[in-house]
Amino acid sequence: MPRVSLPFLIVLPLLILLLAASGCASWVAPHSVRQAGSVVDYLYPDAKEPPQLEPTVTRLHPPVQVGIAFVPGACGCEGLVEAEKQKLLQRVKDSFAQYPYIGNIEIIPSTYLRTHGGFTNLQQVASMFNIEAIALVSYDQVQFNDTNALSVLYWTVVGAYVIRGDRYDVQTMVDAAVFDVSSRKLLFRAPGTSQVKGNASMASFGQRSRAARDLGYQQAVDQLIPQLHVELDTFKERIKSDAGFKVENKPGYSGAGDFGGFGLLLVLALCGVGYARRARG
Amino acid sequence: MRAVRGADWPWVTIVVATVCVIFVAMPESLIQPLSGDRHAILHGELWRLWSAHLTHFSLRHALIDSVTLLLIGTMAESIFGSRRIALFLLIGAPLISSGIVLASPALLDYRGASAIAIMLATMVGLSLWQSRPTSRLTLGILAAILLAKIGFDATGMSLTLTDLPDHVRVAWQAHLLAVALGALYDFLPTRMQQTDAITGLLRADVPHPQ
Repeated sequence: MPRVSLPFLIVLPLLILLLAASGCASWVAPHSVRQAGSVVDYLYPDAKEPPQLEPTVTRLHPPVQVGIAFVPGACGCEGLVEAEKQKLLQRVKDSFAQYPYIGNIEIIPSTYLRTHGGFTNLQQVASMFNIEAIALVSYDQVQFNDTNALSVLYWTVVGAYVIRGDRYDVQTMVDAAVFDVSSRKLLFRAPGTSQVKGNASMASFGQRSRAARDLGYQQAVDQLIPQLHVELDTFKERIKSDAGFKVENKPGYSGAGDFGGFGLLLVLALCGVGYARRARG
Repeated sequence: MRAVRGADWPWVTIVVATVCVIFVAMPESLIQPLSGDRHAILHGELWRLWSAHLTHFSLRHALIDSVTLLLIGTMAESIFGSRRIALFLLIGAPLISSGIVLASPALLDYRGASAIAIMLATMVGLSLWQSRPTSRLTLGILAAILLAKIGFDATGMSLTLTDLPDHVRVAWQAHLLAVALGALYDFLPTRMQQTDAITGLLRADVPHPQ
């Protein structure tokens, strides 16, 4: 049996410890993770120059049929799973159900929107879902990962499970831009932001940071909804004086239960028959 | 005659007509949540099924409808009794509104009391038809004129003295539904009385067959 020298017995555990400690950083997520879906990337994928919009009158026909969708992520790094997206969009939809001039609001699944699809894709979706305007929700979420001083205790192995030595800072921005599909005009937009910070042990970092990212979207949408209401009210006032917009009624929009003077005469005649009969009786 | 009952005061008609006039004097922002907005009804604002009949597009519209309702309602209450008229207005009004929502997707906002007035007129007309055979020719002519008016309204050739806004057309569908509901009443009460299925509220108002 070969002999092992004493210095080697001391150095080897230290070397392992050093490697383990230095490796901690690589066991957790990278220092920052970004998820983004940009409305500009989606609508103007190959634009080298600013889009030229011809001055046209945007005609709105209340109640306007509206679609709402998350824009597809440019890099395939979708921020949320589809079910979560639908839940968030449902909350936006519910908050706008009270307006009589907004018709049905369709939640459009992300699978219907192609990456860099542009207005061509938007027109297809609008035809498919029978919508006149669409609210495109773009998002940009960055997660910063750091360690704190407690992370040194990860070397105890148990510490990796109980010590919260990792920090995350999730910053989220969502932005809803409402477009008139036929004129391609931006009607109004509103942002929502959030910041979620927290600590986690190395073992629970993945789970906690994922929950923080979801929470970030929820808080940003919570902030977005009242902003959208404010912008909608502002837009409503703006179109009254803006020559670029015209509100028109749909054919057969309103109906009056109107008997008219002619009907009044008919009722008088009917009453005459009734009272004449009674007088004779 | 199917039902004859004197009423001291046509209080139901007076209340409904008064509310119509009060509503038209109120600002549009307060009236809008009460009109028969199709989309809002489909989103659960079911009170509009009733309140739509009490809202109007203009003062003249409201006045003509209210006077018409007052005339025919007074006669209807003297024939059928106030409680029964109240009950049938409560049932008939939402049925007419629901019928519009179901049958006329293009009709997005409905206002006016004429449909309930026509429903009462049909009930009165059929009652007179049965009780007074000698008046049937006159009643038949009046019925034909009413149906012709609805037909004209349907083709857009409305004969009206009211000042409806440009985008508003006469909702002939509501009038046709009202005629159908009024006519349906002529069949319903007998069955309901025979089977004793009607509520005590209504029974108290039903006269004995003569």
